[in-house]
Amino acid sequence: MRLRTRLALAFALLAVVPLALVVPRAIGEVRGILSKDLESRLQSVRTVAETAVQETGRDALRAVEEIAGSVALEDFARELRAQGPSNQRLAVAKRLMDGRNLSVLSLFDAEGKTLSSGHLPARVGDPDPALFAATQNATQGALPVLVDLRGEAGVHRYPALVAARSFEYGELRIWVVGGRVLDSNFADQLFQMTGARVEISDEDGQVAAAGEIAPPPVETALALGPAVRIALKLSRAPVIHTETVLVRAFIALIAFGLALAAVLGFLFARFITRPIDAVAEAATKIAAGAFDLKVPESSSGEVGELVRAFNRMTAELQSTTQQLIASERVAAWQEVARRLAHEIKNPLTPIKMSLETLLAASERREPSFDQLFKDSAAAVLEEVERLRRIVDEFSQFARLPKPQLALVNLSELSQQVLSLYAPPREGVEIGSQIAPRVWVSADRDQLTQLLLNLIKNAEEALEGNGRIDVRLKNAAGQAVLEVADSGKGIALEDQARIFEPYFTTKQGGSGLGLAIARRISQEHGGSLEVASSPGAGAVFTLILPAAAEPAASNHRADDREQAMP
Amino acid sequence: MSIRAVRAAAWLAVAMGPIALGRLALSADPRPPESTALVRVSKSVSAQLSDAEPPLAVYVVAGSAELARSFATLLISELAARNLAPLAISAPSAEAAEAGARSRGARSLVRLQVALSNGVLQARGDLISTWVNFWSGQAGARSGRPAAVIYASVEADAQVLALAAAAATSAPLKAGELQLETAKLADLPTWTGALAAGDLNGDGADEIVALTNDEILAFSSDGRLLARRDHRGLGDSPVPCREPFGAISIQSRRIAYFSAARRKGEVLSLDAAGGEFRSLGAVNEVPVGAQGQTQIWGSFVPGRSAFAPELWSAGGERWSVPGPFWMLSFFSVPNGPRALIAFADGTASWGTGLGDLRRRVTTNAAAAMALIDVDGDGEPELVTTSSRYRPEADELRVLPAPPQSSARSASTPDGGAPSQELWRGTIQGGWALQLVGARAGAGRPDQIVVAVWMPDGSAQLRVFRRVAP
Amino acid sequence: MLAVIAASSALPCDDSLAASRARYGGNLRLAIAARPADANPSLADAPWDAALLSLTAKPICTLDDGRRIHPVLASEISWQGAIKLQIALRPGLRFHDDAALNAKEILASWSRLSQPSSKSPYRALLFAARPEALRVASAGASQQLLEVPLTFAWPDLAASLCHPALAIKAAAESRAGIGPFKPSSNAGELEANLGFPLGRPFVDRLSVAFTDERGAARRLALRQAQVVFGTAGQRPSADSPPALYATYLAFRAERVGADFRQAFDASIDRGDLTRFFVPAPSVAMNALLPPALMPQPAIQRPPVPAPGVRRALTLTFDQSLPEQRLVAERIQVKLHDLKYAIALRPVPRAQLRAAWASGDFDLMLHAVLLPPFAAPALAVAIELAGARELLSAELPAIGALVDAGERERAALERARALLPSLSLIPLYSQAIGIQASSEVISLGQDGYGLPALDDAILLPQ
Repeated sequence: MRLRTRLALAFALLAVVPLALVVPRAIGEVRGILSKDLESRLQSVRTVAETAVQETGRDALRAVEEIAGSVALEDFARELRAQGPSNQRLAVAKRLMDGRNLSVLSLFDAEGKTLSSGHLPARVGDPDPALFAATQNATQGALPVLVDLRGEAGVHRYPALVAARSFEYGELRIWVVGGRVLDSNFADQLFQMTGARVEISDEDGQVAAAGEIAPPPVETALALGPAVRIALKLSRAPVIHTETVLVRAFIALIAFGLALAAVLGFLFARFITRPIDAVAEAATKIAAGAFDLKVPESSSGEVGELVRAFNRMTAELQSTTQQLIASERVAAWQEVARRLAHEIKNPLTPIKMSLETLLAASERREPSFDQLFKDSAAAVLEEVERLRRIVDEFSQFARLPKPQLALVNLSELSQQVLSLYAPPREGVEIGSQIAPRVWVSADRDQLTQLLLNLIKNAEEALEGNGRIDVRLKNAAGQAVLEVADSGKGIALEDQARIFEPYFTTKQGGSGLGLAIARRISQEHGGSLEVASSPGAGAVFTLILPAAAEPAASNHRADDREQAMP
Repeated sequence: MSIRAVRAAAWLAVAMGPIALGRLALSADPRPPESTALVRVSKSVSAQLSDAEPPLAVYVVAGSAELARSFATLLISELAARNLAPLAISAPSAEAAEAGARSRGARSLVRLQVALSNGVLQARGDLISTWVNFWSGQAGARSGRPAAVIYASVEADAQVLALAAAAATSAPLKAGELQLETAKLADLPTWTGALAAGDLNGDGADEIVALTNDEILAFSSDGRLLARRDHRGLGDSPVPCREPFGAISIQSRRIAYFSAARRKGEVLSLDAAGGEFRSLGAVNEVPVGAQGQTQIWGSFVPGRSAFAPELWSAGGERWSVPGPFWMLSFFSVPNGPRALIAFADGTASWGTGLGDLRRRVTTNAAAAMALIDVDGDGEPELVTTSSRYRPEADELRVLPAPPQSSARSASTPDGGAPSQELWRGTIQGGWALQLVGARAGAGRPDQIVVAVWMPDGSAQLRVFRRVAP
Repeated sequence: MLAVIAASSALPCDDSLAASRARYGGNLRLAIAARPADANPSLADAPWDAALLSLTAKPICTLDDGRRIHPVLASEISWQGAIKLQIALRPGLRFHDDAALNAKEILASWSRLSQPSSKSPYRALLFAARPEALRVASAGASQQLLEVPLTFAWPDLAASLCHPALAIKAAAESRAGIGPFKPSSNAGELEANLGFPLGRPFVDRLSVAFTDERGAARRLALRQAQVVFGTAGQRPSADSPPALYATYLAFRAERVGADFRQAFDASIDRGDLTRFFVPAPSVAMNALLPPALMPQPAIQRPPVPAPGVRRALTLTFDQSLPEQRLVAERIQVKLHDLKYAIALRPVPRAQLRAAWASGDFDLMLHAVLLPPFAAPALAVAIELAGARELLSAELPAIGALVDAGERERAALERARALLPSLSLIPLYSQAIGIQASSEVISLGQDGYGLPALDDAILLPQ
């Protein structure tokens, strides 16, 4: 971890610790106050619900008493006595029910057989013991019972509050049992009054519910008889919301303090460490060869001392390095001169010998002089030509022109070179894997020379049959061209020197081909490396910085590639 | 009962089985039974007398001497066939007959009264022993009780009715003096649309012609089927009528008819042998009736069982009666009402002729009304059936024809005057929709022929005739 | 003239309003306590639907109240041997829309019953006929003969052709048929069809109003209607119309479980069901065919089956029939006690029929108008039960009996034997409830118990 970071962290820690000690305590206090408030609301909801249930029971009782005393019921009893049960009176209970705010009404005979039912007309003619049970305790007010109600989906049992009254017509006794179903309407009504979620359940589970509250709930319940239970639920969500807001505010406070401390710490640390950074940066550059670098000596104290010592060290290092380079350059040129002299000396011997032979023959007046002259002149010319070539190549190497850079499609160029080179020598096979549209910024002529040198070199490395593979690809913003041969390979000690001028392992080679190739690659900001193991061939790898493909030539390039064999 | 029942019988066969019964059901042949009512009743009586001790004396009384004589003759021949050695006794009274039988040496005596009542021919009486014990002398030795009570009854037929009517005079009548008897003339498979009577063979007695939705049939005055003809070849009417309806008019032995179910009408005559109709051509006008020698033509109200009010004759005379009508009846006498018309709204008018029919004078007319000389005095009576639609029991009433003048004396309060009604009887079993008068012969009272629609869809022709009281 | 007036009084004068012949004319106002019917004859599953339909579209023949056949569109229906029926069409018949009626309209009307889109239990009426072999024997200018070859002897075919579901229509949904009345230019009004082959009806016009039961009774009381269909009348008696609208509970045996019939019989009393929930005239049905066709056996209430797992079923019924809703609710409530959770699904009649045809139901209340002959009625009931394969096994033996009485007995015997194996529970049968004011006389009925308004005569007030 950097010194600057450590210092910033230390500042932040100092800012946060006091806050962390105070905040949880404050939150706990607020939470306690909110819960107490919720508890008291729950209590008032329960009271409202109890009142509503009692009121419903009283309403039911009033309505049933009114029906028991109505003329309509008397008419019903009269017709019943006269005609017996039939579908003519199916709707009587339904009509009696309407307008009286009843949702359950059955008329029973003395044995408990349904004579007419408003809430379940299909029950007519059958006993309904659950509902008829209300007649057993008719003197009390409304009673909770379970009644069957039907919907399109099926028959369901609902809790209801019903009251019962009997009516006598002659010897005929009719029980009127009516009331209100504690269904979702009732639940909804309770919800409207209390704002609490209402869940009505019997022993089999929930039968009705109304009101939606956000979880989690707090609950209180009313029990009506053994079977029916009305649960009232208030949401704890507002409390939790308040708590959350509070906690978030504290967290925001802590975060802000932390950030401020970090920024301040960072700025302060930067002020301290700036000279040290300069020294570190300079050391890096010097390591890369920039020996003339000087760190400004603006600081004082220990840091200023450090800078001055560093600058002194750099100056010494620079002078030593320059001496070393000068001596290396001399040695190199000596080596070049020695090899060049050696090269030139070689043809001079046959020239000298030819001329001496001619002179001797001429003196001897040899009859075959003419022939001999012809042969010797040819030998001399050949050697002179060789000398001229050596000199040309050397001058080419020494005066390689600055490359004229232009965008070159390396893929296309490689193909061209390969096709120019074809056909290869008998027994040599050339394969290529050339990725399309690999563009480089290069001197087209020099690059052609480079590729020719590499391929020629590979072919020369093959003795007899073999195979050359040329591969071009675009890898990580670099154009990578590999020329691999299946020749006998290059000995490990030769690999280091193979790019030196006039180093050759072949008979008759100038020793400048690969040197020129490397020089071109370097002039283009690239590299040329060899990898080989004896007996397993060699791979020359040319790496050039890839260039962006010119937009205008895009399409044309495609066409060209497709047209290529 | 649906009106459509009239078409039912023909299709019963289709409903009940795969056996094709052909056209109009043969099972409902309108021919009368092989044996007459008199033969059947005498067979029945002779069967009851088979245990009587011969020789058997026969004493018969009846409303008319012709009826008594005919019955006695038939009975005696039946008894002779049973080897009862019958002998006819004529005596002024039943008591006198017993003495007569004894004096003729009969061992037993049957005393019978033959009577026609409400269409039923009855023979009732007793069988007594007339054996005289040698020791008892001439004094009556038999017990007070008859040896057997004899009773037989069959439905009357026209022959019986003719015999019973033979005694009737043609003298003018006072109220209550008219007595009519009825007999079935023929059965028809389906309801009738029209009925007419006229002399088709020149014998002086009128033949009866009935029209159904499918056929026209001619019967002799005693109910024998003379000829029948399927008229469905005349094409279906584009606006058929729900009830059978049509018109028949007989003039100079030619029958013109037009069924509302058909596109055209036709004129027929009965061939010389009297067993077949011959077509004389089709007609496009409806022969509504004949006033004297004038054939009156008209048309149907489309789709309804009524005639349109516009009428015309071949001679170019045109009449327009006040509205669509059901029937038109003429009676040719020089000094009485001669034309009667019943309108489709239930009213009726009458007058001296078509030109005189200007006012509707009653609101309770019947479809079956006619002017008929029931008593034979040469003046028509008004004969009508019930004016109600499908009554429980239809009835036939004979009323004095409206007099030419002095109307007030005949006027009575609403509800009818029994004293004015000459006769009233019920028509059993159905509803009378057509009614005509048929001449029975020179100098004899006319017969009333009624077509009765039976609830099962068949029809019956009944004849009513004056008999001795 | 005075003489004429005087004579009139001598005529009997018992009823000045009636006349001895039928009176024509008048506008008969009809109120129907139901929703307007489907124009498709094969969907006329309620009495008033068929009654209304039969006013404007008749089959080739009709049955009268004595079960006799009356050719209507045919002039003659005759058997050519035991297995060929020949129908001679009346020439020149035209639909209400003036299109000519030909043999092909008749074939099309019959074949509609078997079409996949409107498959109907009434197609059992034509089971014996070979529809592919139906052909027009001769198509002369005036007469068309239609030959109906049969695969086996079936003497009741002629009567079956009189079923209202076989009413001849130019197209299934078309209002144009041939009946005693035809649509008038005024909405809700029918006028007498003067060209009706059996003769025009007695009344000139028929105004039809659809209302509810109370509305119908009120209209009758206020003389706004003279005839009312669909009101609760009296219980059927000996002379009331035959109750031939039979309602069945059809079920899919594989869905409802093996003991469903036992559970139904144990929990539901058809007498109570009919008495409490089905408006009169109606009668409980204990046998496969209604009391009008066969004597009803007493049902032995089986023991309540041991309640098994709760079974969720859907009961599909016709939403246009109020009594079916009441009956469906009764079944729902009563079977609930035996652990059947039954959901109700009211659907339009066409949808009900489609569900029936595809077998896509658990339970279904289905009303059909049975012919008044036991053998074809049995065929319809078997078809309704979805047991069409039984028809070819059962019908030939019955049809082979030449005597009508024997056929009737054989059919009833098979009806008794087959009931336990059919996926069908007979519930009740209904006749049409009719009330008419005193101005209407001669309101007859046909063999199906349907009112023959064309016979009705309206007395002037």
